[in-house]
Amino acid sequence: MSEQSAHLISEPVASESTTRAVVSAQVFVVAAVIAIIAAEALIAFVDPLIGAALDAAIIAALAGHRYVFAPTGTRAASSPIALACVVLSLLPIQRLLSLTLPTKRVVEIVWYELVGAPILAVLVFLCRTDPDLGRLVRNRGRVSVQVAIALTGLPLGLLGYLITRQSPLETGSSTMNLVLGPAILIVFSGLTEELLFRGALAVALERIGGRSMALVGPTLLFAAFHLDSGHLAFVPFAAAYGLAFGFAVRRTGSLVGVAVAHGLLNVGLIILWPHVNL
Amino acid sequence: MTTAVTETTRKIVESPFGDGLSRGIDWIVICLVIVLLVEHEVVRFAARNEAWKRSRMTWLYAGPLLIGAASILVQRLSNLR
Repeated sequence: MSEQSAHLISEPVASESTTRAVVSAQVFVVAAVIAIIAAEALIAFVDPLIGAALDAAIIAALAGHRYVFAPTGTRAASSPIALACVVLSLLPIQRLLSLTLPTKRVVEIVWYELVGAPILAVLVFLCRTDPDLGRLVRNRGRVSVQVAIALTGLPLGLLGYLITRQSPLETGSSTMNLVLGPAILIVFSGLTEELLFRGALAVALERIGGRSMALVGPTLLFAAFHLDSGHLAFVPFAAAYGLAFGFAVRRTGSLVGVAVAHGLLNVGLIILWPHVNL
Repeated sequence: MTTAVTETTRKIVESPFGDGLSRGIDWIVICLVIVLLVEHEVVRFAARNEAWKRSRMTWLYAGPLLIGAASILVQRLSNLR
């Protein structure tokens, strides 16, 4: 994909003969996005149990909808509604895993790996089966542009720390602090979240609702998933850099730069700057 | 700040063994896994071969949740939840 490309997908969203089906899919997907955001708000501000129950209902509804409405046979994997159902379900699944997998037995930095690994495994499978998503991952773009995008993670991490002023994360030994901790954050936070939000989610939503839905949907969901961060001021910040990353992926056709930038942002925010204690 | 580990994650990990919140979350995940697997088998049975082809993607939902359910079991057995 060239630097000037504006589309994440290789084919138009819909033909005239399928307009009714597309509108039906759009309504369902918008309802699912609103429900996922509502579940996050319930978990953060009302009662985590109610939010988790809503997340479970959303996953069951997405699975059922795919059974009923997705095409069968060889077209199943590449169908827009099938991909949208699977990718949207990864969001409540990630939330439920974040409430079940972490344990006191391991230091907190390892929790990111525990929650991120199953989601990353599904995303790798999707990258191998979906041509548009695979192209976003394989396309390196211009090296200078990708390096410039990646380096934005450093000032963004500092800005995020100045907003949250969070205390240092428990990482265990110095080796974990210097090597494994940053590696875990870059792979299971930066790469996984960019593959999910700016990759799979953007591609799935563009097939359903076009470019505007592909930009707005992942940005709103990404911001909503920071509602429970304990720092409300971080939510608009997450929305802003999420939107900027979305534009960068659309412009360059590559996820490489934003994945590294997101990883560096989290390494600075969670490990580096809290220890420097500015 | 990441989407994977939040304040509620920390609250559940720090909560005492058998706490109502973690117990409730555990039941939600276990019930959801059962619902997805039953749904998977019902569709396979009802529509036979054609549905089997599309129902393979169910593992993309159920796979990660099965890991969560296994984790709940292990944590319960070692008195962590």
